[in-house]
Amino acid sequence: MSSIFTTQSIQKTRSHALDRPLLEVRNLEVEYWTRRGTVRAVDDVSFDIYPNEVVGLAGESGCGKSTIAHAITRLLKPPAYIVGGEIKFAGQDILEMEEDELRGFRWEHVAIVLQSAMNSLNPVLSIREQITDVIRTHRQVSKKEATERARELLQVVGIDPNRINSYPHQLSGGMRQRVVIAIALALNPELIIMDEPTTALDVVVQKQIIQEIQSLRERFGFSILFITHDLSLLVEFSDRIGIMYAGKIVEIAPAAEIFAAPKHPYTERLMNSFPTISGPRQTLMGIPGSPPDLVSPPSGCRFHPRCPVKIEGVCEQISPQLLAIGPNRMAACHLVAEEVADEQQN
Amino acid sequence: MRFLLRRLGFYLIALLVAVTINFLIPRMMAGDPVQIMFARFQGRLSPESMESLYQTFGFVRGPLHEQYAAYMSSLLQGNLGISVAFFPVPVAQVIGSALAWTLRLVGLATIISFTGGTLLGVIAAWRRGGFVDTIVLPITGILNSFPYFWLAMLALYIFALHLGWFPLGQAADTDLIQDWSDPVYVMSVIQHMLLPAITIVVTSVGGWLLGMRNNMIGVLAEDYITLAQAKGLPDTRVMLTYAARNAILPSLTGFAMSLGFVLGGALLTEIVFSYPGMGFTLLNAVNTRDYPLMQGIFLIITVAVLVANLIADMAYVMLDPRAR
Repeated sequence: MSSIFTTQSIQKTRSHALDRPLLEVRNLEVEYWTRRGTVRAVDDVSFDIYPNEVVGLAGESGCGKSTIAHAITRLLKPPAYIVGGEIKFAGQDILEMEEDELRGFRWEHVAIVLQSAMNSLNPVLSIREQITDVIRTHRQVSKKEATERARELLQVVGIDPNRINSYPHQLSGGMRQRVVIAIALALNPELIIMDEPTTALDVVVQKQIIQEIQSLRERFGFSILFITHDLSLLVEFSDRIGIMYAGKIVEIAPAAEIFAAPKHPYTERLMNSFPTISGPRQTLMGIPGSPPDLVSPPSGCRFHPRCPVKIEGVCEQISPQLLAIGPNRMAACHLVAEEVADEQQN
Repeated sequence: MRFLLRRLGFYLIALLVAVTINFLIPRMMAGDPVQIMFARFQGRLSPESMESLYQTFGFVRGPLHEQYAAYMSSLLQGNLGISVAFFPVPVAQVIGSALAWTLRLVGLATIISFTGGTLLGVIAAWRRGGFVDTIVLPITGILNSFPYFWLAMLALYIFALHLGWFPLGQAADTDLIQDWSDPVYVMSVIQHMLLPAITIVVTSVGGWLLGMRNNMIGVLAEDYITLAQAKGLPDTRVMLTYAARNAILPSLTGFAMSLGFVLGGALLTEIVFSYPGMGFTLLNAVNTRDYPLMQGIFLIITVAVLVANLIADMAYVMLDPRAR
């Protein structure tokens, strides 16, 4: 098998220090200016992604996780606007970039894989054109070199390079998503954002794609921001997990810890709403109620109307802060804050 | 390829049906051209000369199937008969000269209107709320919904009669002899074409603009557009290769149809501007009951629509890999 690095002109050296965050999201605020009113879809969200790390974001539909993905690549379209915060990539603020700078930054450093494998590819262009156009936009290489690189990339994601002249409709859903991943790898980016990359695929193909992504990451060492509502998938796959509710991160912790002992009542409920394949039989529990209408979000803690353990008189009034509750671990809940305070007193 | 062959077969059958209907329809109308001509001469023609008239015009007297057979065989020889109104000029020749005028005027205007409207539609959708979207679109929309003959006559009245910027009608100065190597003649033709062409473009561009804009807006919401932008591709590539190339597909059929109808002439345009094209000729043919001419014109229109559709099919195959 030919190496992906054979095409000299395309490879890139990585110079970013491993102990400094690659991506820093600070106090990010995104609003949708709708006719019904302003919807704050992402509210004061902060998190980091380190080199070679997989960070998962989970939450119900409409909690703002995809909006974050689009904000990082500045792909939000009106009526969505970033109204506050910073997004720094290797120290450089993405939100401050000029159009030209942004165009050069995109895909070179951050690639994105979208939810719908079926619609991510242009139906009238061959996959060769769709891989080579991004290479030729960012690198000074000949058509032949770019095509050679495209063939390598197809091989890397497990597609016969001879299918390079196929059109999207001639490929299955799984193959199409592999092609999109090949496109994402084209410039060897430091970060790949995956916005529910396997949702549109059946379970078997889903598993294959996840394994593929995992082995590619081991090979090329990129970071991943993985967005999904499938917690069981995340726990298996990510290093750290952030749980979102109504536009806020309510808990962020290493995957194993969040799985072993979820702290936030919402995380706990979310965990219980997925069945485990092994282990004792358990009754599945849903979360009563439905996600809030973000035009007029609940006062205090946004989860309080659905929370079974809320503290009367506190939760509906004061919005909890995201507090460190252990090394690498944060949660935004009054109950958890009390526990931590008690422990410190004893 | 199989797709195209199948289409070709379909068009051949459609052609046969159209030719047959074309043969039948004039024969269902009352009166025939020879009798009309005979009546027009008010008895100065003898019944014997009537017989010879039938012969000259190529009318076969006999049962319908014999007429049909004669019609088909002369068609296959490219013989469309002799025009009654322009006796003794053959129909093919009458159509030939009208066709050339129509192709130049209506053909050119249709192509300009389609490309212009489509491009404006792309821009309107790309810059939503911009100048084209908020100013040009409603204006062309209004122009598009005016009754054409009214607008054309208004234009003729204001710009030709009143202001004298354009000639009042005809395809060229009647004093000039048709000579394409003579720059004076060519200039005169262009002058005569300008106003009718502008009225056609102005009244039809809105339809293409609106259609393309709406297709584009649908396509722009697709994920592959978002992905193309995330790839950092230049805006022009995203707009044209990713968005417009997908959005134009539904417009193609409409364009092919209208190209086909070009050969039918823009009837109202040619009447208002007394332009000697196909539409004008068709009107004449109907008024004088010139059956051979009418049949010839209908035949040309039919063939043109079918050929245009075939071209649209081929364009589809070229632009949309899913049709291959």
